[in-house]
Amino acid sequence: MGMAVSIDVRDNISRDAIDEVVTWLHHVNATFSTYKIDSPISRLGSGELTLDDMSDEVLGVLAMCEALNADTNGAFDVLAVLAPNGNFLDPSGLVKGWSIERAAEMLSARGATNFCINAGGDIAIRGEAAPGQPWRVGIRHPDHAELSAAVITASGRLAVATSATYERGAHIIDPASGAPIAEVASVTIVGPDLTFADAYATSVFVMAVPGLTWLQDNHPDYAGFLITHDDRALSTPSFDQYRS
Amino acid sequence: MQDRWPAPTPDSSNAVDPLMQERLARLRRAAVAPSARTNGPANNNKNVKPSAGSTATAKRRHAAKKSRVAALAMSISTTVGLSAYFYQLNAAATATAASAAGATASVVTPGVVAIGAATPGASSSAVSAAKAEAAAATPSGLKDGTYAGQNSNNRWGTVQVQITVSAGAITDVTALRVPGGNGQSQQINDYAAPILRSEALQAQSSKIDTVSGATYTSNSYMKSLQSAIDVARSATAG
Repeated sequence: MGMAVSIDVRDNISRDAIDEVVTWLHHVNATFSTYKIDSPISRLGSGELTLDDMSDEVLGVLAMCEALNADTNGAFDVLAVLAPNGNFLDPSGLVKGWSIERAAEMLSARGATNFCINAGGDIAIRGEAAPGQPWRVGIRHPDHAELSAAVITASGRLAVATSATYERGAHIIDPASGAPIAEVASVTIVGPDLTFADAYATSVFVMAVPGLTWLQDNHPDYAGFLITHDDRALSTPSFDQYRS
Repeated sequence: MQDRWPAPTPDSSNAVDPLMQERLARLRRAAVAPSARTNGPANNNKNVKPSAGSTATAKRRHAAKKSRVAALAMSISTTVGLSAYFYQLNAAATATAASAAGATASVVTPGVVAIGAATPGASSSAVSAAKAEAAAATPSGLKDGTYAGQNSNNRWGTVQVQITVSAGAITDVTALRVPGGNGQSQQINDYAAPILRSEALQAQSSKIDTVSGATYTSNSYMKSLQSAIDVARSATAG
């Protein structure tokens, strides 16, 4: 999926557990990558294959994408964005979080209790960083990559996903006033399951500020943190519990 | 929570609903003629429940378009639906501005009121308060000219106020620097305030274990930053 994945396990577990996760991620990449033109997803998107050719795994992911499409009133749409392979089918917005959440389950099943998996900025954590010490997850500052706009501390099971464009694009002009209006620089979603945290981050990014209210009303077990290009941070009240 | 969607396990039997099939079929037709795709030929083919009052009024369009529509809807709802709240803030802000400008409240411009609406703590601007007090104590003690206050930080951001003195009296108060930067975003922020937390963006360098940030278009960033952070973290954790 064209990104770095770091697997940080603070317990003594067998090397096999890591290997299993790595194998799984390579499998996900081979199946769902929109960078590989020979992946089933790319071939489905190009019309070379049909849904009948897809595995239950692929169908399950696409079914989840469709459920999210309805849930978000279309804001989450795997058929709306041009994928790197030139097709308009890109479930990456779900696959990344989903595959990492599965990877976390694999590590848990292998006996790991304290770990952190970071897949290109989407994070699944379990347990603690050290005994009595919660994990500290920085949310990247949009203008200063080395700084954090906020820091999340958490123990136990937590997912943190961020959707962002860190470039300052053309401002959106409000036709009513002629003034530019705030644009979204990044959206971070915190909650129990990275599958949905990732998908909601994409969705709220599209919905912009009202997306936070949507999240609050529809998925109160997830918290949102939104940064605008004019350097403001908006968040759901539930986000407070995670901030350090 | 998990049962809201089909279980995402690889071995579960999942049926993509027929609508997905239909959408995919339309998609392929559209892919042949990309210009037709732009207008979303796959739109409205789905039994989505009406989006009563929803912000996502545009479906199946390009993401950027949706963003624009959402932003527009937001600005409209701001103007229409929450004017009462904004009015309330204006009232509070007028009081704030009055206290900052001392006896010269009558010359406070509407622009300052709008600024104050988003920055209730703006009265902490040191110079404007001091000058205003001076104006109240000795109205003729002010030298004509324009004076900029120091930057003042509050939870909304940085505020800097400038006053203009004519004939020993403050005749104008303007904001050189306000959080947000324009009236429209002020309104959006005000709209968000009662429901959502709103604050000036922070920049911290405190110790972290890992970093969350999108990397769909910046893999090189991720590789360098994440590895650097991982190394730094290992060094401190070791």
